[in-house]
Amino acid sequence: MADSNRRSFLKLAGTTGAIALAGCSQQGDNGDGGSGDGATTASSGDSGPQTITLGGTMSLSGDNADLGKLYKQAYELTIQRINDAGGVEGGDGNTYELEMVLRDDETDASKSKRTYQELIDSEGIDYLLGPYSSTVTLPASAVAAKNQKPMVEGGGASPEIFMQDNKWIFGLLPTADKYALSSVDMAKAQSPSAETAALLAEDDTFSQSTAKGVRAYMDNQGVDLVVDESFPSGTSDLSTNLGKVRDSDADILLLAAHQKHAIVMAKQLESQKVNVDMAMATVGSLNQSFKDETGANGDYVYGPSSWAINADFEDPVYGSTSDFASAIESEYGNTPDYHSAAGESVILTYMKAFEQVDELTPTKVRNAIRDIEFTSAYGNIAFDEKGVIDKEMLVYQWQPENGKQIVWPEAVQQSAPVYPMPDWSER
Amino acid sequence: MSERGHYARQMFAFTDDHGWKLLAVLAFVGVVLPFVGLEEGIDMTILVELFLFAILALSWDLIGGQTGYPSFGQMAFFGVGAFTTAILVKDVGVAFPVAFAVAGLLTMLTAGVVGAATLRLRGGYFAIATLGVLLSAQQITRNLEITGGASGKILLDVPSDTVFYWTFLGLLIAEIAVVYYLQSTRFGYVLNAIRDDEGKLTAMGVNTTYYKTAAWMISALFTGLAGGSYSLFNTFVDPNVGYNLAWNVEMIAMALLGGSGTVAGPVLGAFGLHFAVVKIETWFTGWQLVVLGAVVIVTVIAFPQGIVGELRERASSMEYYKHGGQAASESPGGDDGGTDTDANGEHATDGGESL
Repeated sequence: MADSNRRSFLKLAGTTGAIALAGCSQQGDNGDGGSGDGATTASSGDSGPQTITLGGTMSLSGDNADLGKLYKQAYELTIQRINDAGGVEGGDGNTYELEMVLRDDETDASKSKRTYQELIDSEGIDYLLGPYSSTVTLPASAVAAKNQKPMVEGGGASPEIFMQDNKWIFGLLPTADKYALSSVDMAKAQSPSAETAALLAEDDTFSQSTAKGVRAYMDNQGVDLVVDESFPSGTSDLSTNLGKVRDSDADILLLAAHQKHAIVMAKQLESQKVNVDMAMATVGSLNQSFKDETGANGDYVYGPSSWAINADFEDPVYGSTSDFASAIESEYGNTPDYHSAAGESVILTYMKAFEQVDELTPTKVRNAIRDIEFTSAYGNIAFDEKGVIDKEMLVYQWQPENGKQIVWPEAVQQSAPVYPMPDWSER
Repeated sequence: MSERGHYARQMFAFTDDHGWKLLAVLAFVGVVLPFVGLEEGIDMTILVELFLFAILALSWDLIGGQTGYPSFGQMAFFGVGAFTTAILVKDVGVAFPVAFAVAGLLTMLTAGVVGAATLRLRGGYFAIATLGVLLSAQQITRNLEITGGASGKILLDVPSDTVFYWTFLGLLIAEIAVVYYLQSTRFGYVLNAIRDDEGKLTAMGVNTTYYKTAAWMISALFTGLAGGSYSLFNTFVDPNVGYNLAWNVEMIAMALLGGSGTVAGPVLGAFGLHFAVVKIETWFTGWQLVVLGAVVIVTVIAFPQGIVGELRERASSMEYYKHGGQAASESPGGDDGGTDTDANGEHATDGGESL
């Protein structure tokens, strides 16, 4: 027994040592590569195209993995399409292939600083892809600014990210305070017009920003807030809060939260028999995975999106919005949503910036992004002085017969909203 | 058989004899690094995190391992420290060293109050109560305006990473020195005795509450100071970062894997496990939690008493064989000091300072 213990100890010690050595040597190699000037762009010498490596983190595991997957798909497919078409024609006269290093941050804000620093120092990344969620984006954007590397992101929407006088961050989502406003507009314009609302907000940076924005807006629009509750991110039960919504007889229910809670809301609206004219969730209620999880309970649920899948924007890589949507669908078997389209445009923003600079440096690329203007499958891309895209939210609704439909604003409407949502006794 | 544990014994004999010198050498190496090429960047960031986790694991071990009170609420003190410096530096405009000192004082005070209530409980009840303290602290922080509520605080105007390197290094060295020193004092013996049989100690007339509370406050002080530095180092703190529930478990795993009840164990456990985390996250992106779980399981099976604990047991076995060997243990009235080594090998050298 003792001998076998000793043998297993030696084996384990040997393995650990080997891993540690491999780790050190790998770090050394990468460190050497990264310490050169513009290591990201340096590449395979005279023969073959040069490469530019984009790098970032994403929620590849944990509660937001379903959404993280959408960004990863869009990043990978767009990079593959660009490379298949011959690469990026850099403004400096060279042709570049794109590569990507994507790490998993588990949506944990305490991993962000180290992982981005590691990408910059060890992998030699000069051009950063932002993570998903505002809490992870905040420390990540600080690393970008400190190291003077541009970061383009399609996953952090809290206005706080863009209020830090950070000149290196660019966001492709409308800020969180705008997320729920169009839904209120829609409910106000229906018959009967919404007069009272219930607001349930998750305890996190993004959702609290959303809640703050819509609270002020409803006050302005004369909608009476009859329930205003926050709940912890970790909870999987909203029944008590939904009970308050039922008792208050609110006309509309706004859930400022992420996908996990959108699914819980859809299921518990049924189990708690909560009847409202409109139930909307700010994030994650428009994914196919939401509908798969909730089944018929997900019918009639609303959600905002910064992207109209039926819009007809020209796209430099895919051709058009519909071509992008069908490319994602045929490659991965799921319908893209605005996260996918924003992810695609993160890559395209870099591509366009690389085409415009006469020399490939982080500062010149950052300056080019500031002035960039182009259209993609996502829409018109341009950033204001804070680094945020100027976009309004559309409202979608899951309809039993037509599936997911754009219902607001009327100008781009695919179907009229089913408003009020039918009572549970009628379903 | 006589070779068994020979090297381990030699190593422990050396560390036991030269503990302070060894600590001085390690401190010197840490201090010198920034002067011989360590710059702000990933290497420094990883070192800071290694120091941070070592502080947390050692803090937990002082109350959980040395005293036998398994706290599941240490991160409450981390959060109190983290938000104290965040508020003082950002909103009040206080300099970091002052905020740091206030954070330490406030966490010690908090620990005193919390300890008065929870340290009356033992075992699983104590664990649950401390977990409750942590969860309540997190929830209260979410609801307070002064802490930034659920959105937390963005802290961009902070000292450089080098300042935090010094801070965390200094904290770790100070904590190792304190715990190492305590081990050879009456205070340290009483803590170990509380762990082994608190009832007997109380019957002997020892005021265990005093010792437990003091150990708890020292443990909280270092945890709070680490939190106070971390919020600024991370440039962002919210209730999930400040009261990080994953870290709350990780620090315990680090102490147990390295060797609970020792000084070197929690430090080595923290270094080893966090280094593994960093590497596994890079190599197995998306699967890191699965791989990390496997590493922890393998380590626990291979080293049920933690790495340092296991090695110390081997060293003790060597000692045991030298003083009579198997025959002694087989005699009905055998020396119980010898037989104790199997169950509590790491305590076999009671009486001497041990790393």
